[in-house]
Amino acid sequence: MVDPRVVHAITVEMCTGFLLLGCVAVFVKVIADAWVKYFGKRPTRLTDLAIKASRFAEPASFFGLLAGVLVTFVSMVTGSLAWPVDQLMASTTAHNKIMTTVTTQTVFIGAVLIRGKFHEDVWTTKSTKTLYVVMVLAGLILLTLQNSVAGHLAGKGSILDDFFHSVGIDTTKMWLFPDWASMLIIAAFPIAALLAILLIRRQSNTVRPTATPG
Amino acid sequence: MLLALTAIVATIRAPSSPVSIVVPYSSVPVQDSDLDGNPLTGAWSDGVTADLPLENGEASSLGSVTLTAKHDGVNVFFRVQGKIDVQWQSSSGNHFWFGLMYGPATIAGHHKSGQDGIFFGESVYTSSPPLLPVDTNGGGKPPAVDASQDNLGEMKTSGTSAPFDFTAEWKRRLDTGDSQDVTFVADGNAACNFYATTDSDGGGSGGGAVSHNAVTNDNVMRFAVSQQTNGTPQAIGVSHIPPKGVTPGSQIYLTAVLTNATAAMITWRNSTMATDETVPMTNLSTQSGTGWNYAAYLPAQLSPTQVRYSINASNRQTFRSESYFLTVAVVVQAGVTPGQQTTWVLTVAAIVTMVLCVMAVSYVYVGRRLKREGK
Repeated sequence: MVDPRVVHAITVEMCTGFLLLGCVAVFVKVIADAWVKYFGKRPTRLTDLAIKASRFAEPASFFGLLAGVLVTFVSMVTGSLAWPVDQLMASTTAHNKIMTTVTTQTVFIGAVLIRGKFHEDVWTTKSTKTLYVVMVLAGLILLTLQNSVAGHLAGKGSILDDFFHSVGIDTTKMWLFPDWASMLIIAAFPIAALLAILLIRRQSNTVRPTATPG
Repeated sequence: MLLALTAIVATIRAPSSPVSIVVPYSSVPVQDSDLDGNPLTGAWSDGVTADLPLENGEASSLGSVTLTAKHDGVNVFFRVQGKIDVQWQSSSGNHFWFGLMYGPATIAGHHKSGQDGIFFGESVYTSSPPLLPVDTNGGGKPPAVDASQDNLGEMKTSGTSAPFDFTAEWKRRLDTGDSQDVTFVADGNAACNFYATTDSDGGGSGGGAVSHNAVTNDNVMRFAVSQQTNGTPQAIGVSHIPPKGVTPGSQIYLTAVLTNATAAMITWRNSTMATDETVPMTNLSTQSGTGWNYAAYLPAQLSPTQVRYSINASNRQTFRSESYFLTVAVVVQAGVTPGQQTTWVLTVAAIVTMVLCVMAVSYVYVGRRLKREGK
């Protein structure tokens, strides 16, 4: 019988690989589009390459992110089978791993939903494009942190340990907000989000479409 | 100006090169009571002395220490004298750590999996003085604490202004019998890589500017062949294993199997006592192999410390004394308390709420923005 930890390791590699592919493809598209915008007036081989890269990177990024999110769910299941629950619950590092994984997954799900709903139109305006790229970048940073914590959980450490040490992040201690801060966030953020959504809708409704000559 | 330049030149030391030493055999061990962080006490004169470069890469006197080492065929004794930019005041204030990691010749490099280690003053392990040795293993940062603590000693600091002096002294058995420890083989040949460093700028330390990991020095040590000639079997046999997991506030129960002994007592002292105390051992009237079970209680220790003790057994013809030590420490909380569990659930809920709200706002914004553009 296959060791559940081996299965978990495979699924972890798969989800990390897919998500990394999605992130890299997004950055390739950003660079390719920028090249076409600023240097694409005269046709050159590089410009042709950038146009092709941009065309391929967009669907590749969506595929990578979507597959990564799906395999992460599988990875969560294999992880819970590979590690006894009582062992996970007794480990501060495991708590940090679960927390970072849930956060990363939520960010990537957001990116996938936005890209899935609005398709390539996300890339047509500067603000939506920026929002989408920042979201993917945030996911990538969280993914890096998550995998570094996982290295400790596997007892191997991480090559980023020295960096985390230099910025005061200790992956072996449990990361906790004070209870009052968590309560405040849970109560205040939905209200703030609701207000922000109402504001966006109101602004959107007050903007009149440009009058067309009759 | 000239004076200032002279002063600067005088305080800067050229970084020393990695060292290769042979730890000599000595029939004179360093007494347990002299492993106290005071460089003036103890029989160290017949040990090997080397100027050992630290991994912190400091070019000044903070970048190297003087290492003295020797072994007596059973135990190996180390003394490290160096300088650091902060005093060890408290785990929340100024403090620093000194650590030494060693491993077999097959494992080279700073902080690797499979290396054995000893740390003094790392506030993850030590919350307040005395700065007792913490036996660690593995490549974690910081490394995991060994279940079996096999080092006896202490680190102390002195001085009134930076750089301050520190001295760490400790001993351990060449072969501790602990699978988490590296075994030192006294054959004059088996090499052992070792790496020493200090840290004061955060991460188990604080208040200073020394970062522990700047360079890697592959230092090597070997252990000279023991020249023990006293192989005469003792008439009295003492079989004893120091207890593990002794916590402050609990009496310390010691048991031993003594062969050919008619009486026994224990002399002991903790790390703050100036003289030994004595307690009698009681024959429990139960046989174990060829010997008899003896037991004694040592008084409860009120705070973390190391207790050094000797079992002194005698009969009408002869006498035998064996030295041991044990560590009294607060048990590091394993696992997560129910309170922490609740706080963690709240934290996760808060983070997910935060991210979900940002995502929801982003989703609506993108939708409206694209609608405005007629997409």
